[in-house]
Amino acid sequence: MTIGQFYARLGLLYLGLVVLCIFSLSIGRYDLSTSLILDIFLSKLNGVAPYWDATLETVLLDVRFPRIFLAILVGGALSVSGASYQTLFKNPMVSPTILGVSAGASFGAALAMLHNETWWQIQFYAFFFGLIAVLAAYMIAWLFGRHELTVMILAGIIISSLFGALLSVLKLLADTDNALPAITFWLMGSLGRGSTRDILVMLPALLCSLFLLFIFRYQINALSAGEEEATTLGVNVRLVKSVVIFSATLMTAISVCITGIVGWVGLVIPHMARILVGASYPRLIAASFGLGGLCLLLIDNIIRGIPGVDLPLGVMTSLIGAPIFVLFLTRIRRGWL
Amino acid sequence: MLSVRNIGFHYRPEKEILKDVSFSLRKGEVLCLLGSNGTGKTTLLKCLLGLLRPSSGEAQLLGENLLGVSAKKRAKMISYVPQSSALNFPYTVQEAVMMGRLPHLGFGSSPTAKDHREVEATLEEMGITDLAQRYFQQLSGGEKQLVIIARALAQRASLLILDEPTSSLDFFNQARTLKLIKKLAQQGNTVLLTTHSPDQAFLIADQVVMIKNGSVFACGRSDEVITDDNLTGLYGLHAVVSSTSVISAGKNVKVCIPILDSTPS
Repeated sequence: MTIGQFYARLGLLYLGLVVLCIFSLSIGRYDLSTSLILDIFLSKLNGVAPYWDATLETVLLDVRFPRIFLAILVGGALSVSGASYQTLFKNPMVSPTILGVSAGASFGAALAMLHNETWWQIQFYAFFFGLIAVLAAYMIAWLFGRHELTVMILAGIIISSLFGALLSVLKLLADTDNALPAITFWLMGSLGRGSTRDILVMLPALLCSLFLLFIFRYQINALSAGEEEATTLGVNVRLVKSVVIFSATLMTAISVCITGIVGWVGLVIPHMARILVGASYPRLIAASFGLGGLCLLLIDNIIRGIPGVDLPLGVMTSLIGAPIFVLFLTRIRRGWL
Repeated sequence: MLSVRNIGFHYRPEKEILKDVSFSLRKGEVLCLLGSNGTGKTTLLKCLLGLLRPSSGEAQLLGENLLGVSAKKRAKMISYVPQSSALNFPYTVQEAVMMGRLPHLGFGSSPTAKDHREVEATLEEMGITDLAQRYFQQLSGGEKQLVIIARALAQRASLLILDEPTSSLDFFNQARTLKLIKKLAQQGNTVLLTTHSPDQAFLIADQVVMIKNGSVFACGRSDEVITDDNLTGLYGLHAVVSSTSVISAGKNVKVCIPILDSTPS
């Protein structure tokens, strides 16, 4: 694929995302026309007196806008994390949760819910334990395998299993009327509680991670040939590996603490992005972010568009992601992946 | 150009993998490392490539100490072709060869027009321009080997190291790869390779270093070093060197023949 073709495809992808964003703002119980949406946004810039009902403004700015923006950020973050981990581990079956971040975050969130903590504290606990889980996996790999990738994956499985067991203990202890349903619902993921504050919390961490991955994009690309070959191509493997793990973990942890568990996005979207722009990592991260945002927003729109049933986001991504992954298996059979 | 002096390596002090390995190589020459499996050839290459840290000795390339330089600087000095290379994702040949330009990229920057020109020139030199947009995974074993050699050449390093470059290839692709290595040396590239076939050393090598149990067993010009006695001593198998005249090529060619129904005295 030439550079021109790449930019044309990327441009179409992000144009599609913008169009979907505008369309998404009008979806929901309250009817908001495109011109009204534009007027409400413009009124914030030029101070024009509102002619619309204040409820509509609240729905647009405090409910729909943060939810849509978060869908894009979370979808993009999980996809880029997945693409980064898959490249690092040379494994197309790897997802952002490989080092235990989701299991740790789930335990943290459940612990906070058990103690009736506030939503803000639940997010903090989820984030904190997500990082602790990855750090533990990293330390195990360092102690026993000198950062060998296979040992790191095994350490991630061990830590995920440990936090999974601890989560089960918390569920057993939880009050079945309040805490247990809350934990169960959180584990299924949702964008419904997203707020502007969440965006402000997520953006700096996301930008910092994306910046690091962008700076080292060609070194990360070389890691897909294996650590030894990457070293002979001039890559400081230990540094670049740490950058990938730090950035991908930070993005995943911050996403999970805001939305709960959203599966499949980080596993499936990078493969779709490879079909679109190829496997080269510098191109892959740009396409993965846009495609991840677009797909998660589309799925959330479907959820919002089904009247009377508020299906959890994680359930919906799994329902859609599983059949798509079956399609990829046919690609594997043809020797493409 | 390359000077290796008393290189030693061990994982545990009581079991040395390499002991006092020394040799030197001039610009434009091909040096072939011969030895049985597990004798330390690949370990020696890994020491030179910075993948393993030698426990003793030194190695200099163009007067620069190889063991003390950064990975990036070393990659500008030495390029490497492994026994086999796998890319688990659908990289095109052009993208795979572009990886060879990595040591020349500035911090955080993308490949420049010069890098793209170098990749195109390398593909042309190798005669694989038609493969540029094919997926690496979908190539045959011989084509993949050519692409990995192209990636190493795109590094524009002073020394090319190949680890058993023909081990997984069929007869035709072995000959194609050997021909290419010979051509690269004639163009002024300096080549260090390992092989399990002494015949290949006769075909392309100026110098041969035989390694046995981690030490240099014999070293010198290929026709002086590859003898019946040295082959028998190196591999523990009775083998003879025979010279045969190839009329169509107008020259004598030496081949090594293992004697299967006898044991070395």
